[in-house]
Amino acid sequence: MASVFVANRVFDFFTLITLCGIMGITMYLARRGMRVSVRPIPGFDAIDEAVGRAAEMGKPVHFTPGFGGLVAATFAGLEALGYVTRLCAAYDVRLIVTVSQAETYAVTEQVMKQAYLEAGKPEAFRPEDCRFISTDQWAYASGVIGVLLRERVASNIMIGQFAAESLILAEAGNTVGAIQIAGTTNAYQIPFFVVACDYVVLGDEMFAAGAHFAKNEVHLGSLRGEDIIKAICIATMVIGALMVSGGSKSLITLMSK
Amino acid sequence: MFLRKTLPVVIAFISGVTVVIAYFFKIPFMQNFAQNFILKWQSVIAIFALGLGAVNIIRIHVKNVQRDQGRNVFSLALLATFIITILCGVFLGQNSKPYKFIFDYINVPTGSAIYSLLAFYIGTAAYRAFRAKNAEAAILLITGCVVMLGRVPIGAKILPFTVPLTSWIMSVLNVGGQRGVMVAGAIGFIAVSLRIIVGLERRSYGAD
Repeated sequence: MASVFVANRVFDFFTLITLCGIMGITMYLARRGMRVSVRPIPGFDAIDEAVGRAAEMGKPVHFTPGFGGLVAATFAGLEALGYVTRLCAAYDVRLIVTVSQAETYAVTEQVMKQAYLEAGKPEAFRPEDCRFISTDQWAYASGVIGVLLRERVASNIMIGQFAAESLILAEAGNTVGAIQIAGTTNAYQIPFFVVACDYVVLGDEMFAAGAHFAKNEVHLGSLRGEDIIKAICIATMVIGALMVSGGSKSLITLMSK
Repeated sequence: MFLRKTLPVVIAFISGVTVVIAYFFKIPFMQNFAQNFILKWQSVIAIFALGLGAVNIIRIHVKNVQRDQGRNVFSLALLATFIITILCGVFLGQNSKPYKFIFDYINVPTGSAIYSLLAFYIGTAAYRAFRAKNAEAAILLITGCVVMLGRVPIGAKILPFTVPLTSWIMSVLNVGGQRGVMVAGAIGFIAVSLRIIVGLERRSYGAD
């Protein structure tokens, strides 16, 4: 059987199948009515405050899903964008969205249009407020700085895939006195957001966006599956550490198959 | 309805499953299909999307110029450089002197200038973060000071214990925390990918 597999990917394949199976079962159970509760996530809860502040000040809200292309973190950011857009439409707050990758731009515009439609205000969508900046990292950073400074935004929401430009954007937002909410799965950028922003959605909390905002049963089920898998990962790490400490390398051998 | 809802799900399912199979199994047909068809189409779609992005840039900045009656120098500069760069690239080629000049003497230095801002922003962010307003901030302040001292030669002279302590903080506490985020993030990636492949993430296409 091993010859059918690419070398050293047998264990990975069965692990992936198992993980997908667990998530599939929990999503199915959630759709059948299994109750899944989501703990409050301060970063997501603060979005209402951020949009409310912008409404009171009569200034726009800025949102960016980051520098990444259509990766999982960007999709989580777009899920949050849908909620922010609906909220902005409800309060008649101008929402400016900046995007760095062309394929993300196309999807972002569609998500905004759909959200304005759901809010009952399709005419409120302004195509010029969904802005493609640049695929170049620093051109994107300078473009976003320009938008933040020129538009004097009241709130700056950055949820998605970010790289080295994260602190530059967060400090620019701080310069204009915006309330800042940020979230990324990039472990190297989280510390920058923690020190520079008011609220941070930490790592995989981002993937709870769909479950948090829409209480979507598929997302709730998926979230439960992720929690179960995390528990399995922790158990595996503890067992592995004990086995290696005891002189057994059988788990390492199994994982290298 | 079919084009907007069903077709994207079908394409996502076929593409996703094919790439996964090609990654794990030695099936030449699947591997060729993934490498030579799906990944190439990904580039083609990205190029079309780039065209949409270019149209967006032109539309926004032309509007800016019209609204401000030509006084918006930034939009004018952007439109001028946009047109010049395209003309140089299309008619003179990417290896021509003007195109290389734009890249080497305008694009690269301005990018480096923006990147260099990071050094100053780290200073201002650290100044705000290093205020011991509560217990967590105090721990951050002390840890930050230890790591800073442990990373510079003078720190080793003044307080020698900061060097091994810094190594321990960076290799145990820091790496442990980062790996936790990475593992949880990877599980989240799998969940999102699974939902997209089986068509349960319709919001991705802007559908309800």
